[in-house]
Amino acid sequence: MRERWSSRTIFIMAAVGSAVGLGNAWRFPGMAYNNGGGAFLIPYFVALITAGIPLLLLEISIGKKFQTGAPSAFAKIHKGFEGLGWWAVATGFVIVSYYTVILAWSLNYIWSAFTVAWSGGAEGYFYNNILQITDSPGILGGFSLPVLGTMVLAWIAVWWCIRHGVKSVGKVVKWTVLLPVALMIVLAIRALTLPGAIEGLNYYLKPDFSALLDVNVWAAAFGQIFFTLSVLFGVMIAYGSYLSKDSDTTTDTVIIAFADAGISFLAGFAVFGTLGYIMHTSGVAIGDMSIAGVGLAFVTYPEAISQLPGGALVQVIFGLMFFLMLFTLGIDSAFSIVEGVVTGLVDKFKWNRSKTLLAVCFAGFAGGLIFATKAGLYWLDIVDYFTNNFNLIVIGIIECLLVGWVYGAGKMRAFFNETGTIKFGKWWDLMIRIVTPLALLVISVMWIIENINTNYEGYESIHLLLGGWIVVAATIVIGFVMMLFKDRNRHIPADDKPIGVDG
Amino acid sequence: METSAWIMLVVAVVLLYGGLAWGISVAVRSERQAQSKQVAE
Repeated sequence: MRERWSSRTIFIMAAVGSAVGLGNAWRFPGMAYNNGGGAFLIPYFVALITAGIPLLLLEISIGKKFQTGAPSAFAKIHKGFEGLGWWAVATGFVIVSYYTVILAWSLNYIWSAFTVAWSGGAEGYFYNNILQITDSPGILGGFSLPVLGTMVLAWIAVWWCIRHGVKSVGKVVKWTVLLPVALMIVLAIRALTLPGAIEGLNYYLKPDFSALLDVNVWAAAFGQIFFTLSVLFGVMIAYGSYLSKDSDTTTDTVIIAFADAGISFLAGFAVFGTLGYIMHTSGVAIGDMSIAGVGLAFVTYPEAISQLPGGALVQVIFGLMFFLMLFTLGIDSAFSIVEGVVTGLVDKFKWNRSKTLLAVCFAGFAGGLIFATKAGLYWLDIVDYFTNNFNLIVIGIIECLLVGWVYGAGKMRAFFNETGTIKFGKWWDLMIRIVTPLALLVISVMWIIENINTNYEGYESIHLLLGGWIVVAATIVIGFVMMLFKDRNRHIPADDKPIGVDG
Repeated sequence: METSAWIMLVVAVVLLYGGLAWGISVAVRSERQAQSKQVAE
């Protein structure tokens, strides 16, 4: 008997926890600022409706329909596509191997927050004390011990959260979803009551409608939607596989997608309110600050915390709140990816779940060691750039075409509409068969053209080859190799026979 | 903050949190209906 979510609310919270991660806090606000400010919300909303919700619904429904992880689910659609599922799972494995390193940085900062250790200069503290960064990706420089130590803790936390499968996930997500949202609300309120905050918000929300004519802005909106929902690396398929056949996936999908978007939007208030305060106190223009990614979380924001009025205690409290928020935002995304990998392996090979989880955690830790070196940030940047922009996009295109054209979009729609309260019309078929794959294709073509012309961030070609294309190739090879292993005790119910084989 | 920024704020709040509230209200109503159906049976 397959495990089940203990309740509908727990499933929704687990899926929201997986979808809402670091990107919501540090990617969305900066992306809005760089792509038309408030006007960016228009393509973002269009992308949410036309691509995000259809794709999320597709993945949850695949899991629910076939009651198995991504590789076996794709095998049931067409035997030749099991490798696509493994490719997705392998991509997730690569992502979690560096994602836990970011969690490790957050753990370091939770400790550092007790003394506001970065107050002497946030940039120097991050790059010299925590990362101990070298001059180039080619100079590994040994391990950064603060990162390595906390990376062990991060992996223990991931293992602990999912040690009993969806049962323990159900208990943990109550904290890892509600706590960061509560912290984010407090941080946003604090930010908005600081001098200069409203001016900062103006940068976030003031619309530049001419940006809507720029195809790059639309590509950025669709890209953000694809990356923010935890789709395309097997997580949502695994989570969907623990749903019972009578669950209402359509309504749940709408809630998950809007909750994710709403949290992203909320994060912008905390970020731009704070940036406005820095601008007000130090006179630095927002355009000259790190407003996204690692720079925002570990340099700009800590800098703002050390300038907060109210004394040392206030700075300690807000430092703790911010980095606890980052850690709890990320941990449920990390363990959901590991759960996707474990589900894929256990469903195919019928291995013992606990031992498989331990093995995956050890392998993830070993694979992530490169990111704990003093050149780790460079490799993290390169691997993240390639796996996110190439693997996920290509997997998305194939997945949509597979379900849309091979399995049949209408058949899948009939399946989820049967128990769904919100009914999806034929427009969903159009999105999955044409619009979503087309949007992904446009994004991938633009990405390839950009990378043919210039080396990403000026990295040397050899480093981009090693951390980028070779990692991409390795995940594809893993996909094919895993497909060659025979399933153990595979039983395919009559109505789930691979339709590409004899159906 | 400029008027256009305020307008975008209102639009975003209505669309994003309105969508979330709609989804939750549909889920709550369908759960209630399912429960009353179970009780009747």
